[in-house]
Amino acid sequence: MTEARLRSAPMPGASYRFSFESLSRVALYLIIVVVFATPYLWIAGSTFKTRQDLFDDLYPVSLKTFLPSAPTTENLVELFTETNFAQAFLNSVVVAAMSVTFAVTINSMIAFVLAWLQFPGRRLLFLVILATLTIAFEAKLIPLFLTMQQLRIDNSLPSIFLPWITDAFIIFLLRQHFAELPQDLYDAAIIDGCSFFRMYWQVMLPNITPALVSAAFIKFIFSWDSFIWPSIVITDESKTVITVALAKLFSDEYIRWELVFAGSFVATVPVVLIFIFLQRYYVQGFVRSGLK
Amino acid sequence: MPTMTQLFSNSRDAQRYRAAFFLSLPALIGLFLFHYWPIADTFRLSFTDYKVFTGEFTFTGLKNYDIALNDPILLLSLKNTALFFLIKVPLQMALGLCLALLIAKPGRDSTLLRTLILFPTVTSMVVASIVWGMMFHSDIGIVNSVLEVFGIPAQGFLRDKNQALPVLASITIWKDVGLSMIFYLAGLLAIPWEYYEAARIDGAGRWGLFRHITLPLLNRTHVFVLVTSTIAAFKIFVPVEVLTGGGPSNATRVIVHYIFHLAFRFNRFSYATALSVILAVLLIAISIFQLRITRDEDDD
Repeated sequence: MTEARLRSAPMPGASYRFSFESLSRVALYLIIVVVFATPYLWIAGSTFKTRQDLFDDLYPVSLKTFLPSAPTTENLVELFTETNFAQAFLNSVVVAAMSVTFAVTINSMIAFVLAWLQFPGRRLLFLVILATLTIAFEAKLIPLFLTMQQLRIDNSLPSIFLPWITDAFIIFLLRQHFAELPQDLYDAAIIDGCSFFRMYWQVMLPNITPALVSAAFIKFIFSWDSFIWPSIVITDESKTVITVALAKLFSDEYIRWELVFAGSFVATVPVVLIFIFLQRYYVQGFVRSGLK
Repeated sequence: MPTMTQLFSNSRDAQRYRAAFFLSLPALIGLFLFHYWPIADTFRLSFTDYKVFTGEFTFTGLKNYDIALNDPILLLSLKNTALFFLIKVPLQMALGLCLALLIAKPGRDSTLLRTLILFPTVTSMVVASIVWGMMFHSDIGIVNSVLEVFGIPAQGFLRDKNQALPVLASITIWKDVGLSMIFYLAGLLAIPWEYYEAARIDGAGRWGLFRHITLPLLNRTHVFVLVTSTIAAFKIFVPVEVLTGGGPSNATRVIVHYIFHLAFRFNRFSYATALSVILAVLLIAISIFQLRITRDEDDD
């Protein structure tokens, strides 16, 4: 048995050999890298090309398609000065920041109550919250839009994020983490005469920081990506968000390709950069909420 | 918890419940104002008729549902949506599992690969649609340029009514496969290593290990990925709106896109809400159906 165990154990150095298998593995890696990296390289390269170079290098495809021979920031300058992209970018940042702040605060409060207070109907309330996950938000867009009009807050930045603050996914994720904190922590705080609110704010909340980061980042991605709702509720150009502004650039009769690339670049770089640093929290957030 | 709470007076309990009430209130307001009320309202409006000029909704009973039953475009949208689901979901699950298997081994290169595959999941759907739309452009797109190298004639892609829907499915698979992958990765890592060792000692080959240990032990992951990616597939909207607008010749007309256009382009709010109700009921039915049949498999 020990022999079998030894044979199956990966030994450093010993397993490395040229074989059909390792070659096909390398080929697979290459295909994956090409499929997943090409769009990004193309956006980045084209952003810094003149319109003329962009079209000259497009067909047939070569290294030049991805690397600007004479890099220029002209497109970015034009994007920010001659279109409403700067405003749209700023609006997206504001909406995402508000959305994240409110969502993490409000959902963590109720998640704490659901995890640490015994009260009749607790399970029912939790089910009522989770049930919202089963209904596609597309199915309530119309009344939501009419409600915004009636409240006279349509066509405003708050109308973009207000409906999505209460988030069953985040409540579920945070409740899970609150519930796993040790009973001793709760008991010790009670003995010290800690109030229920301070229990939440000073004792429990700091102990689930990683989950808060997960929730915040996932909410940020959701907000940054949102397209249908802002395109419905916002009619004023000055209040538009980045996704809608980009889609508009792309749908113009005379498409400014170089600006579309620059816009895609600007819309993508911030999230990808943040993602590189917060990747662990992002993955944990989904995995923990999905499989428990 | 009860043992501790018994030590304290009722006033302390009352204070605690009051605090809990105020902590829950904001989320509850959001829940009812922006989730349950609009859903109830969708249901109510689906029995009315909206007059554009007066902005009034008048009760008309089941008329909208009656129209829906005889609406050829609705039927077409549902057919296209189902087709989209059939192309996308099995492929995405298979690819997600393969990618997870490929990078399940720890090491620097697999971490970088994971990061790269997850990039699209944080990239806006609008950006993904635009960039792939340009890459699949029939005249100047990179994809046709690459095909040419292999001697394959240029394809119509989004302009071809047989290719448009599969192309849109590929774009969304590219965007979403990373999430399926991390769920599978988590599932794989949860399988006890001893199972493989024991089976290997019993003489199981690699395919046998995969077939008899990996696949069955990933059952919960399969169900989760299946249900969530099915729901996402039925709600396909952004690439259609950005790239094809439902064309060519209605080949990419899908349900959410149809509802959206009825409501916000043609002001047919009431009819659109009836279709929204149909969509919501359909999605719940499909989810329950999928959960049921996968549970039956568990019992075997």
